[in-house]
Amino acid sequence: MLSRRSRERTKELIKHGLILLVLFSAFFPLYIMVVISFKDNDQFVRNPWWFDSIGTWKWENWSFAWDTVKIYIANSIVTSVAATAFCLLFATLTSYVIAKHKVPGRGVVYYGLIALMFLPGTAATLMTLFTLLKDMHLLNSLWPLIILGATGGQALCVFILRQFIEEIPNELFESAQLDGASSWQQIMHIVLPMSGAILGTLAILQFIGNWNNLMLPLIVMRDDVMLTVPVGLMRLEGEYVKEWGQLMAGYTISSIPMVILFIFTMRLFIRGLTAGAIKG
Amino acid sequence: MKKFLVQNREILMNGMAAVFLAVSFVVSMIQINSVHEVYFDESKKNLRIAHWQLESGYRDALDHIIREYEKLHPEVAIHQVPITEKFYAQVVNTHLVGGTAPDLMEMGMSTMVSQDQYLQRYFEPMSGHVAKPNPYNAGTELEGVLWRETFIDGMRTAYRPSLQDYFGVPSSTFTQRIFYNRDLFRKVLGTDEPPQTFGQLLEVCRTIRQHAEQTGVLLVPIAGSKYNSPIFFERYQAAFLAGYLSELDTNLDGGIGGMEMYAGLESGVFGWDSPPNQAAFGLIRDLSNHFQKGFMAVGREQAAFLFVQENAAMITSGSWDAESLFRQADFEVGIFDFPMPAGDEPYADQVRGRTSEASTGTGNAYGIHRYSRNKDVAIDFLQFLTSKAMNQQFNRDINWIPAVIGARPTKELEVFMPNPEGYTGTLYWFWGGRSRQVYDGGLTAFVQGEIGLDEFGKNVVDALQDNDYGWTRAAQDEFEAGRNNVRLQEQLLGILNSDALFEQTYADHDRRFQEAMIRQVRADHGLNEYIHRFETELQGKLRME
Amino acid sequence: MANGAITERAGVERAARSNAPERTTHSAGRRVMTTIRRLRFQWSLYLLMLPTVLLILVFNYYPSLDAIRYSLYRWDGAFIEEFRGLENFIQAFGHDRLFWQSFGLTLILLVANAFKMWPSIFTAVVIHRLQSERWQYVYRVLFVIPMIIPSLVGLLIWKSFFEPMTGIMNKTLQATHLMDVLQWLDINVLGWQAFTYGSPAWLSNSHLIVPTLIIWGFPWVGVIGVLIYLAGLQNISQDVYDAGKIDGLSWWGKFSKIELPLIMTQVRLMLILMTIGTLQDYGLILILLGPEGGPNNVGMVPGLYMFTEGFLNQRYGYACALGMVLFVIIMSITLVYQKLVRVDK
Repeated sequence: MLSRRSRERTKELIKHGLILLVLFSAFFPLYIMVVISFKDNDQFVRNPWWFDSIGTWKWENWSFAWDTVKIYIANSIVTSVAATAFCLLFATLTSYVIAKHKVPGRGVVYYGLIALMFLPGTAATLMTLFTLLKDMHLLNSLWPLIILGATGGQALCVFILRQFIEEIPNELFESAQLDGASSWQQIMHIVLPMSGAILGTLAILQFIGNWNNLMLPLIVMRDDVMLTVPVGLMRLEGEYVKEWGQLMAGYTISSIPMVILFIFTMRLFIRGLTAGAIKG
Repeated sequence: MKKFLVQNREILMNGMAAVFLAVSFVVSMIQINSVHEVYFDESKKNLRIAHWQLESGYRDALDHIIREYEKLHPEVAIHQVPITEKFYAQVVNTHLVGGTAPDLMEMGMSTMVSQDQYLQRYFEPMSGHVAKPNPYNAGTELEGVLWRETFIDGMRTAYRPSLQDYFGVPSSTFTQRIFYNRDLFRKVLGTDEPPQTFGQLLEVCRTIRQHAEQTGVLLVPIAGSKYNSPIFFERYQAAFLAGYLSELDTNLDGGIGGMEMYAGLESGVFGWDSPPNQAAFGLIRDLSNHFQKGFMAVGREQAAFLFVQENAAMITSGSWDAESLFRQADFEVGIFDFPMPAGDEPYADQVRGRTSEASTGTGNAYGIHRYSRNKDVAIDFLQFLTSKAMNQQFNRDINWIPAVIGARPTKELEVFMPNPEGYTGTLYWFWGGRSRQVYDGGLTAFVQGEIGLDEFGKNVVDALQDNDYGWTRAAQDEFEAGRNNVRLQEQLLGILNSDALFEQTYADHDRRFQEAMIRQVRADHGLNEYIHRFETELQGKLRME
Repeated sequence: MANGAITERAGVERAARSNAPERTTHSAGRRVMTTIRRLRFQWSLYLLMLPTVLLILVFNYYPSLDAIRYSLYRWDGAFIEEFRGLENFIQAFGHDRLFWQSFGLTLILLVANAFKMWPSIFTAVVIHRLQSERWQYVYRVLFVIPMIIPSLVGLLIWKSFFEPMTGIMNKTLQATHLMDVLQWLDINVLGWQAFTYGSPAWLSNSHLIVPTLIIWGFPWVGVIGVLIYLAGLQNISQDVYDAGKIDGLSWWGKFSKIELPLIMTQVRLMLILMTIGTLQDYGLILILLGPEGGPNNVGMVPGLYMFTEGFLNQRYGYACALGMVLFVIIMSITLVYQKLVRVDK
């Protein structure tokens, strides 16, 4: 009969073991990606499992991949950052109005937005959207991605921000009103500082969503230099002669910006998700 | 200091993230700007040329020609737009509709570059241009020859009978052969001479298999794939079925179309059980025993991989693959033509003869977007590309077969030059999208030994006769396509005639209206809109009478 | 509602004025000034909402309404526009087997994805039950990292695993001799003839496509899910656990009686998101199998079928009609969900 202590410890060990198992399988694709990125095709065929000796590593895979992928990353960064910025800006303005001011029509706006969250955006609207963009002469440019990225996030952001702003005590706003602050100033000095955390979380969610968006750039972009990361990688993967090393190096490089971003904003994101999950 | 860092750690981290984003944003903008400066340089005449040829060497060879051209014409900048095969159709369709299509597009892969109704809408008709000599042929024996006559097929493949016009300019010719590993042949067979008859080919395959079994090494006689194997099948099928041309080709256009095939089937002129058909499929089945297992599920890259890694002794493909295979192989690559059954080998009695390549058309054609802003440059570039000297160089660089008379390929590729001896014409056992799927699926199962010939045939014929998806649907699609075509032509005719009518009946101030309308059409603002407004105006004017 | 605004503002102003020295003159004038200021204020508020409203009207609602209109047309996206009434719908319901087959696949995927939700839940529970807070945090971080990789990269890496000759999947199966087991199964039970050759083509063999779509993404632990469940779990107070310990619950009992019920909201949320996603998503299939959905269109899903009919076959009108049908189906399922899952414990 094991002692209580050691039974506890075994249970802990089992838990750790299970988690590590899952972690291992989750990390495995990434590990393989990095391993292959340093090989050429022959090495890959012979031994895909672990690294060859360092002397035979093909560093040129990385430089080649960088040259190809850097324009995709640039496009993705520009569109994602801009789309996220615009989205949060507009959503903050709108949710401020809806939460704190009883203007007529705010119900219509709010429910109109929420309905969009539940309306499935099926491929059908992609076609009419495409026609709309064509008539606006916005094809083959980064602007549709920015505009639609901003639009797509409005529903969720307004939904969450409104709940949040509603809970900011009214006295703060009223005293600012008395001090003669305009709406704009109220937003700047009350709403923004208080909702920093939630804005940060939303920003990250929006950024990830925009970064991963595949469909719109796929149909809007014609030229290779205009592609974003997902479409660019997809086109790369379809090449006839697959240089696996270069391909994997390209994948790795494309993942780095997001990883860096996440490392910095980890706590914020987790905290924000926690808060949101409780409300959700 | 340390305390400050620890306490405000989270804010600092978030701050750094924001800074990182801001910096990367700026850097990205700068990078995009510099790339766009080169790519969208407004000071030059920009030409975009789109294709799906991602084989090794093509882009470089085309680039070479582009550089030469830009040296002659420094005010022009030409950009390649290579698009993966899988997505070529979608990108081209989308951008043709969207008005942002590239100036030059490789013809193929999508309905919009092959159906008449879209061709006449979006592509420049070339008959006027090809009836003049190619200025870049000056000084050669082709000087003064009409541009279209400088091609080995007279630009026949670019001609659209129903539209009575040419819609693309070809740049290469394509034929298919069998590639083989000479070193491996010498090792296993003792000779590197290729087989001369089909029976010999089967012998070679059997020997190679025995060798593989004895030595335990992974080696298949022929590398097959969903892409490569059908080349074999079609080649041999044609050899057997060519005899039906005279009986089935009712509209005498030299080929057996879907409707003709179906009519033949229903009228009992031929059927699945006809001996040549059975022989054709029997031969194909025998041949398929020598592909690697599960070959129909494999893509062309994997088959090429097998061959190049010396796990397969032979592979068939078109001349377009020669360069890729040569480059990737560490061994000596030989080429031979498809051997036919001969003498008293099985199936020899049913085969008519080898398939002729007299009708081999030219390919890799580039069509000019009708609304391109630099159409004259596009035409000029195409003339440059298809001048004898440039065409020869281009095709030699990529190891393809030239399309211009007198241009010769590299020595290794001489075997690929089209051989006009033999029989022409073949028929296809499907008509329309769905019956094609059934045929493809059935063929896959049949050649891999999963179903028998009778079951295959039953599925194919059932699909053709299916009420929802078979011949009715195919006929309907063809009819609709034709109707769209005719509607457009009628509209155009109507407008042109009404223009003339207008001109005669009304005063000069209406001419401005007409000109504005015509300008609008040319600017691709939609024919429907034009017609609608025209009709309204016309009705308005008629009511004034 | 307008009156409410007025009274509210009036109330605020009254409160403000009550602190200011009394002014008796020009009360009428002041009322006019108030009205003007109010109107200007309201206009400034509308202005603040304007960007959002404009964006969603132009880029969300207009295309959706337009799609409804076009579903009644034969439209090729370029210049053919013929009113056809309900003919597109008749064709979709009566004559289009592929469309309904694609729904069949979606149902299979739905069930599969429902099962694939559980690893995330279990993982969250196990992490939550660790005694050391520090380790919990460490694992949280470690879990987040593989999932921040853009989803497309993960998908493409998995796609490379499925390559017949060089893919990790086949190599692993061969190395662990599981391939022999599968071959035996194939020959004696399944009859697919997919494994008999030692290196099955997971993405090109019509029998293997459905298993591939289910298997990919092993171990099916998604970071968003884990974090959300963890957050929910952390809300469970210690008292409940103590009560459970008194009742002598085993680890399974703790899970089924305490943890699962109390994170039901999160599970519901993830379930709905997953359902809508599975019903709509086709980017996954597009990348793995290409626009036709693989050999014999086995992998076709409704979204992909719409995309292909529209952008590849130039039948935009028909695709819009299909979109309408899909929309109605998704809405119905979501509504049914709301009703069913409303049963709170």
